[in-house]
Amino acid sequence: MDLEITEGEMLVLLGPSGSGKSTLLNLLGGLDRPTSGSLTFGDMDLSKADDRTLTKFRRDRLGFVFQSYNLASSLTALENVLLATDIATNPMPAREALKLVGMEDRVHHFPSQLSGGEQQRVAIARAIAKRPDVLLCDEPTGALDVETGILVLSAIQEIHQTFKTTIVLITHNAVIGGIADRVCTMSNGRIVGSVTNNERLSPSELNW
Amino acid sequence: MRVLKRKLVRDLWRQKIQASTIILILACGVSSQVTSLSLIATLNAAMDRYYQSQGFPDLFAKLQPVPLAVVGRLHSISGVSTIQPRIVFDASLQFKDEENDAVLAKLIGVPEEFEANLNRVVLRKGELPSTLRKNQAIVSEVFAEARGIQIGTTVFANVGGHPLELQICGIGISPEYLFQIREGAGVPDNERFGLLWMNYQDLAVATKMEGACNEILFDVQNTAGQNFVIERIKRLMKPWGIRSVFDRSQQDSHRYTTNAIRQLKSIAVVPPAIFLAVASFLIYISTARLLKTEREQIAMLRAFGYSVLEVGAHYLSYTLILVLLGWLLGLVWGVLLAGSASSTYGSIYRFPDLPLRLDMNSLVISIFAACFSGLLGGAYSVWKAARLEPSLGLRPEPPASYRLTWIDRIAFHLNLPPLTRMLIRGLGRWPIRTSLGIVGISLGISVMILGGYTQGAIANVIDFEFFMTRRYDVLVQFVEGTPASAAEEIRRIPGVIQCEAFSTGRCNFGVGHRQRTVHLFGIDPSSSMIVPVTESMAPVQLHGNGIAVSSALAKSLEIHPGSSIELEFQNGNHKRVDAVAESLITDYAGLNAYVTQECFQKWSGKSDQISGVVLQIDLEKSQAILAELQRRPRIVATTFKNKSLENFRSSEAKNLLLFRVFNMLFSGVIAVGAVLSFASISYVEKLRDLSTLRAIGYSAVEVGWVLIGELLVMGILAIPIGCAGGYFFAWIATFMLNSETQRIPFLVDPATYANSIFVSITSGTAAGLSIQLWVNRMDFVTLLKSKE
Repeated sequence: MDLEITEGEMLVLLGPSGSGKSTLLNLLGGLDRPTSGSLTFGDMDLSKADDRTLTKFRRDRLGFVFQSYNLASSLTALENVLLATDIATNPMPAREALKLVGMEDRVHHFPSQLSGGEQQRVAIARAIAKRPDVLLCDEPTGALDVETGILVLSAIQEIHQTFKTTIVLITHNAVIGGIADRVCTMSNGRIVGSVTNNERLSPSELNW
Repeated sequence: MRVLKRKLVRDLWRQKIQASTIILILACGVSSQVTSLSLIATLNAAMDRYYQSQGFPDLFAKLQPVPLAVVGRLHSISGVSTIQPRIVFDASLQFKDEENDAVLAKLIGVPEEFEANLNRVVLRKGELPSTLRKNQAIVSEVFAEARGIQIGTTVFANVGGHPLELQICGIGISPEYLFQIREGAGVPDNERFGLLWMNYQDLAVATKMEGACNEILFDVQNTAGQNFVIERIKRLMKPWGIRSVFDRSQQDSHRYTTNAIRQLKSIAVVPPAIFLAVASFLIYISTARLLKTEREQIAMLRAFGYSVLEVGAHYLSYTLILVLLGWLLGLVWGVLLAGSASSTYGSIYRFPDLPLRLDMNSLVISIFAACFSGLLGGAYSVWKAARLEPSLGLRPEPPASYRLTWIDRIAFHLNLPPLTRMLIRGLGRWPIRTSLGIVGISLGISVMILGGYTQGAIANVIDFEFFMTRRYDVLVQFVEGTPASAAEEIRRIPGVIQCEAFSTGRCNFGVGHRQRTVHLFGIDPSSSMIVPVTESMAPVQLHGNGIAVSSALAKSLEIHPGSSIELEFQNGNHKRVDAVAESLITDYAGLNAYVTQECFQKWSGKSDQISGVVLQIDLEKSQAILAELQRRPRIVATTFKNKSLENFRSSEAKNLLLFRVFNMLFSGVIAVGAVLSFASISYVEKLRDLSTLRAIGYSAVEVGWVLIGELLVMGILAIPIGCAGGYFFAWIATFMLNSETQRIPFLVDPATYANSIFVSITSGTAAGLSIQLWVNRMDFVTLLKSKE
């Protein structure tokens, strides 16, 4: 597989289960190392990096959004965001991050007191609060209904437009590809198609 | 159902850390119960058999010399079945070719015409003294072992001033010296006190008691009527002079042995209860955790048509298998421990044989106790889970709900980092589990303190007995009737720095209907070498006719300062005196009381007589002083305090080593077990959070803090609770172990607390490192995608 993601790009990786989307995302996110080949981030060779280097890479450069939100249930929305800002070098204020995703009124709520969409928005706020170079989103709307999914995608698009953050979003829902700069389709661990959108849609224009 | 059984085995394997901790803790509880109950059964059975086969008497009479011809009259007392007169005489011993040493022996001889039906000696080696050869003797086994006496060894005895050369022909034991201790001594000294059984005639000649005896042993038909027999014996023997008549309960060896068995009974209750309580807690959290993770599977089984009972039985068998494995391991461990402990007991309490007897009741009690502890811990969670509605169970469990509490307000003020808030909320979210975890760690500390306290208590007793109240270097005991001028003579021996005379004798103390036999000491009120102390450890001031009585005696007789006591001397003249208790003193062995020597001499009717002297000497001249003392025929025993102390310390060190090792092991298992079980459950519950933290860039050490911090908080809270628990356990132990024969002080020194805290911090650190290892090895990439 050969894949180059340019700075500021919003890339959607499409593909059915088992196509290798998550493996690729794990490699991009420094959660895993390739057994062969090379993987670089700027000048940094991630394929040979040790655990400490990868941890630092994730800490300084990346933001993650997971399908099942992965919020710490014992921390409030604000504290979940503080988890990220506490270890970042140049974070934005946690409350500001929550405001960006429209959660400024729910800062002291625990995950159990939030809906799925709200939890995912808090997860996005946590991911962007440290001003990451890259935001990796793994099926961010997978556990949500259409309406809530649109809200979440709007938040992601807002981040992309405001901060020019590079975003890689994986999904099996082809419709979501409409909001991306480029859509790569994966099958059996390979990229079998790549389409650049001349015109990007807003999430509210999506229909699934 | 076969598949369910397979699942059960896999569940157990998956939870192997918690399962093995629970099994180990249950095993500790069961083994301590099986060990102590089996030891009790072993000792009781061996004692009964020994007493029966060798004729341990029911009653003992110590008399002034009585003609044997008179003894037959005692048969007329109704209820008496067997009578055995004998001569018992204290002698000091010297061994051929051996360095001088001070040794006291009791020489015992039974007239041939009164065949030795009672207290028959069991010959372990050699043969009985021959009637054809003069001056042969059987030596007691512990004494022979302590001094390396062999058959054929020659022993020189000083029998009331008459030299007697004895040839050792055998080594034996007797039921009346099952536990060999010198009368009035707080601790045994097998190297300096022994028994020699010899032909009556030889002993009678040496003691000038031919045709007479000074002790009579009795067997009675019915022990219920023995008080009547005692009164009759006293009446019949009064003209000859009675020293004392008493039953088994006043016999030293029997008292010490039954007291040791009584102490074992308390060990059979307290430690198993602690272990089983901890096991219950661990079973509770482990089952609760298992059932939480298997929520969907339980719902699936119920949806497939398994009944509540079938599902409940399946998960309950998880608990019962743990209980069964713990019980089996505890049983094996307990039997091995009982075997090793019985050989230790066998070296102290000398039985002809001490075959280990497993108490079948202990097996039943222990399995019931273990099952109870298992059910207590597991039943509720299992019942709750089995009743789960399938429709609810098949839905994913909502995230754990939290609310802002006062702790959060503090957290805000302190500006605590989110990871620390996570760990604090984790603790607060399950208060029962957290409290039980703290209790578990505390119990580990408490058990450690209890062990340390017991060792510290023995050190305190040594310090008290050998240095605080007995400040002399040498104790010299005279034969009865020695004039006070003997003290002057000894004071003049070169090397003697200070010499003080004392008197001592057995007395019957009576208050109302309560009676006790007491060692009464008459000492110089300004004595600087025998210094009885009050309960607050201040030296007692003796004056006038006031008696200072030991607190244990005061408790038995309900004596308070100012109480009247009726004293009856057991020295032949049975003089009765009315006295007043003036103060209470502290002591740790036997029942003792002190008066001024002047008062003692006046009351006993033996003015100008002393029982012995205590000396402060130039230790470099001790051999020369001993040689001088041994030349004096009226001296029956010379005890050098440093040698007794050395002997006591070495025997105690041997006995305590085993105890110390098991105590460390047991408390370690509790502390580490509680910490690791709690941590493993917390770890499993937080896996997803921890994985997320790793993914967003936290290092393994930072993530480990969430778990280790929890333990740290619990550990900090557990330390004061554990110390308080240890103090309480020590109090219980003091209460249960104290008796009229032996007592231990209730004093937990700071070093004991410090050691226990240190050991718990060390085990906590070890547990922390294991937890960090789990976090380091955590497959967080896979776990990230796991369901809530």
